[in-house]
Amino acid sequence: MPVLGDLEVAVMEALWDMPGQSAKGLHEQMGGDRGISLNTIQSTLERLHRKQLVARQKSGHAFFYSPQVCRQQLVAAYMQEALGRFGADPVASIAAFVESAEVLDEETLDQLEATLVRFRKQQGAS
Amino acid sequence: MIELLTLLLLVGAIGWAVGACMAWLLATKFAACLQPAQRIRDVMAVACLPWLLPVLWVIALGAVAVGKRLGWLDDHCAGHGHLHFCLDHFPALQMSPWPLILLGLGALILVMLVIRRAWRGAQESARLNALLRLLPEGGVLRQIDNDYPVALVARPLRPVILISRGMLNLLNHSERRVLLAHEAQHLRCGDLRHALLLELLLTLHLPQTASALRSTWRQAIEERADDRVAERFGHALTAQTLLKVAKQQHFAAAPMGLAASGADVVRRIERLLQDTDLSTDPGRLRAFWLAALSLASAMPLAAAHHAVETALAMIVGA
Repeated sequence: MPVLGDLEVAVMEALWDMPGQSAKGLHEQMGGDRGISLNTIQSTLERLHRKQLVARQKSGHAFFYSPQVCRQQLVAAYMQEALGRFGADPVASIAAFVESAEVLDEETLDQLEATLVRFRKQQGAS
Repeated sequence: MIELLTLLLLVGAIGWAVGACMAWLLATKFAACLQPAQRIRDVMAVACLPWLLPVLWVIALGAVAVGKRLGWLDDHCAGHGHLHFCLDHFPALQMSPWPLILLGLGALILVMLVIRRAWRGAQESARLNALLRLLPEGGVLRQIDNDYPVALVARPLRPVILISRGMLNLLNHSERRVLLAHEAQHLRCGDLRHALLLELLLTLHLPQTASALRSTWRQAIEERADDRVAERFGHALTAQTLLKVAKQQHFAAAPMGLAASGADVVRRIERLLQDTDLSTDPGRLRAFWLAALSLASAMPLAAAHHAVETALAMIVGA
């Protein structure tokens, strides 16, 4: 999944809120607050289109853009990439509560459960 | 001067090789019964070996040359028939260019390794920042809008705790407190910053050694956080929380290849539920002794610099 910059995320959020906008419409909506030009918005939309994150439809002389992925899909994709293995080694800049437990077998999980029950009984007895 | 530098680089390279071999031998010798804090210190000490030995050896032998210049040592160079560490009478003999070429290649490989590591770090950071941009604004604690149960700390220099909606829905009130306390321990201990330092130190290690040290360290930081949380909330509740999350991840409809921490959750849970107190076991490996050994290895080099010079002259073909 391509990495998005601040402006690209802002444009995607605007499109998630209201799909089917033109570059001019987006510029009117967010250009003033950020002090960015219409050309910048157009370039950003072009980049997002190349990254296949937005679809566009021509109407008259203008293109109208709609998101091709929803926020949840993007978050899930980034989670997978940001938190998954980088080559063969774990990612250095994060520490997760529990590593992926898909590789554990059910017998192991059941044994751990039984150990926990025994431990609680012993604690209760003492 | 170039010949002196070449010899010192060669000494450094030999020091690196010895340090890397020592680290390779020691990397799997960390007893799991050691306190996690002890294991963390020992891993850092072993990780320093390929850096420490070459630096100490170069300083020891370079000090011989400086000592002669400053008059601390007698100027006995006239009797030398081989290359020697001296700033005034160097070199005594012509040296083959090959050692310099090979050392140059070695330095180039080292630079490429560092660049590769930095590039990976930059890519990791970019991916993480891309994820953070999509999350709602917040302080240290940020929620991920996803059903997969995950909780982690990220970004060593401006740390954040990320918890998914799936994780929050999975846990009850007490278990959420255990989770947050665990992640907060990582922040309190500066584990991510130390992880960055460790990754830098592991650049000079053999891949197998780096992997073993990384794995030991990751396991130890998780166990240390577990211990501190267990002191506050109880061993049973901490183990219960870990087991619940592990089960949910195992049975998740869309499993994620998450391998962020590299820690063995089975060992963590078993350790929490053991009856015996592991804290009284004496350590078999001490950072202090490693540092002392490294220093002790450098001093005889300076004292026996003639033998070292003869050996190096043979290596470089002088």
